[in-house]
Amino acid sequence: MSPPGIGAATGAAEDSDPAVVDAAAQQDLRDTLGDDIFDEILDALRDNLGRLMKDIAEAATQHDAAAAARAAHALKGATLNLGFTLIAHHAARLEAKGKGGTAPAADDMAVIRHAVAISFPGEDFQR
Amino acid sequence: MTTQVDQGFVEWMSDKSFLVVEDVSSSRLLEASLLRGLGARTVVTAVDGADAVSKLESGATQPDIIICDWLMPGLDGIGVLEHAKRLIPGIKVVMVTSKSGLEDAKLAHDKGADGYVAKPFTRETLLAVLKRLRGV
Repeated sequence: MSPPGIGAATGAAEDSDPAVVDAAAQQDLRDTLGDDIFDEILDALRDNLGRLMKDIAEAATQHDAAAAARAAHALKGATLNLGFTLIAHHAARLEAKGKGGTAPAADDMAVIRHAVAISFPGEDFQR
Repeated sequence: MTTQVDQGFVEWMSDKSFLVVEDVSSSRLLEASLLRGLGARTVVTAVDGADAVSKLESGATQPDIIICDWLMPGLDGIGVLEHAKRLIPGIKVVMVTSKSGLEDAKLAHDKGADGYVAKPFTRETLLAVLKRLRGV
């Protein structure tokens, strides 16, 4: 299995989307922190992803726009910090939508799940 | 590009005590690791605003500088800032947020924040705000 981020796909998923990852930012962090610490932080992000995706899904099910906005905001910050630009991009959209009073719809969930899936190929965060 | 830091800055960092307040564990670990990489020796972490205030009130940590996420469940970063400024005169508080509007930076300043970092949180943005706190 390819590690996420560096070595993962870096192309945009759609014309209007950002690259899946900011490979330069991730390499910069690896160089700054060293492989061990960077990988430890990535593992922490995996834990966060599982929890936050679950929170967003529950908010969608319960039509709770505010809860969706809070979870999406946390997801945006966590992924932005580590160069996962596509997830951050779609999390920002969910956050804006939630702040506008609209909970994620099924197609929103499909988009954010797809962004996570192509950012972490072969890993399952939908449990 | 990685900005080099001089020995004076590393010594200043090693002399300071930091509290990192961030509810998302990967971001908390990243911020603490970047601080250590810049020379910090004492970095305590808090998992949310309530944890931070508890550590400050109990005296478990007496930081010189707090690096604090803005939006957290329960007590938010502004709440932590207000508590910290009351409890420890002279403490410096840097707000971290994925908000990027100038209005947010102004609000942080008006509330008494000593610095403001917009995510993504990088070594360079952290270094810039710390250099401003150091005053050189």
